[in-house]
Amino acid sequence: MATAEKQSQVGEKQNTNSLLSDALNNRDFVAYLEKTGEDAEAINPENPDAAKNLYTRLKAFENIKIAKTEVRAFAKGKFREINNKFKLDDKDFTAVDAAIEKMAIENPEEAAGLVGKLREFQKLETEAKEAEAQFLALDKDSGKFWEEGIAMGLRASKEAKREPSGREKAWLVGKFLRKKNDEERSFEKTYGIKVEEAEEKLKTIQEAKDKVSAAQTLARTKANELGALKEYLMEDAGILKGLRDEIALKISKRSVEILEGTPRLSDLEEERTMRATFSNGELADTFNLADELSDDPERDLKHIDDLIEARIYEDMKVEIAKPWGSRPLDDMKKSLKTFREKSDIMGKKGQEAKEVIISTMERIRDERPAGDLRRTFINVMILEMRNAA
Amino acid sequence: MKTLDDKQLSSLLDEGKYKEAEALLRDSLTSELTEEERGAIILKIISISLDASNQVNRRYIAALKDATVALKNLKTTERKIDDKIATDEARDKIANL
Repeated sequence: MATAEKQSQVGEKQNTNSLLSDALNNRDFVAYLEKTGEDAEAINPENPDAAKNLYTRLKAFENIKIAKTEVRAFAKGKFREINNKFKLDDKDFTAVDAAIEKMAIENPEEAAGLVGKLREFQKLETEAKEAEAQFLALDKDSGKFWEEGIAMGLRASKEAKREPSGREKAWLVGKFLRKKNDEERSFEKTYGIKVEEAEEKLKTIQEAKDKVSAAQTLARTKANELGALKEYLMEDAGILKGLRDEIALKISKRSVEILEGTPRLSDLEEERTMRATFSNGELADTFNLADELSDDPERDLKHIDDLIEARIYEDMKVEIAKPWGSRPLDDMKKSLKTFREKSDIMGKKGQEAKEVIISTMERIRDERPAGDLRRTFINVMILEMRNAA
Repeated sequence: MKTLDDKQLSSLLDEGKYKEAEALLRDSLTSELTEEERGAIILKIISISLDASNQVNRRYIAALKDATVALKNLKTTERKIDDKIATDEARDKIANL
């Protein structure tokens, strides 16, 4: 085999091992796979694409973790900030978490979309704050008119005889923005003419040696026209903010109405899938060989080997069934360290001794129920032992 | 609970048929919900609210940026007029010497 090809295969193996380690050492992800009843065979590490697929799903899972955290932050933050009636308790959030997980399994695209929406929400909130800060920094008076505008925006809705529907609200915003654009265009046009008129007047005044100062005329123009326009613009931006907050308030209120209309549920028992526990075979601590030795040394040796093999099987089974810590794959590797490193067993040495251990691991793997993740973990270890040979 | 038709709901919201969408939501809430259903509905509400908030924020930011440009232009014009006033005042003083 060419050296480059060999190196490439070694690299591929290391990469596969690294992807598997990343995925199977993430305790939350492993717990999630267990909870969802993932078919262990479907992520058999001997399948060349399994490691990559598993790693891709780990990344998706991490996204879902982010979604859970950020959905809570959104519900507790934005909604609560504008309407303290929108309260979700821990039980609600547990139900939402479950819904996010379900969505991730049944509709990964929608789940990715949800993460995208949350990210965009945070980005836009920051952008809005920056845009507001830029606007308010432009003029010392802008804050005052801005606040007045916000109050006007909020008042406009409160004074309405009936609550506008979402569609009407959207139409109102659209109309407002269109009107605003029209007025801005009109302002520019009007203002251009005003300046020209002022200059024209100045010329006329100078030519006629009018007693009235041209500077005073312009100053008056500035105070009357420009001042009013500035106020309008500042107030205008404030109104916009008021409307935006009002819309958010309506959305939140509507959400509360829907939730309040929903009958409160009686406490449902949480069903948890209990993991099967495996009891130690409780072989006798000693083999009581003295009573069983016969005159046939070969038969005795075979008998001893059988007993050793049975002991290895029972001990290994116990180790494999141990609960995982923070790094599931590494934890199981540690539990089986003494077995995996045995190079001398039942009169067999080196690779032969390893094969005894591997065949015992395969036996335990095959006894595990379908869909049990420990099957996958055992597969990973067998694969590594074979690759190391 | 009647099954909430996500596609129909999304389609109604896209078309701006908010009353029909609301009716659909209410219709799906006529009987007692399981925790799973309640979680799904709250998540749907949050998702719709995120959509709405993002849409409103996008328009708000665009309009605020427009207003900032307009105010900047206004301030530039204001400075030009201030300069002109100063020049004219100087001219008046010279003329009255």
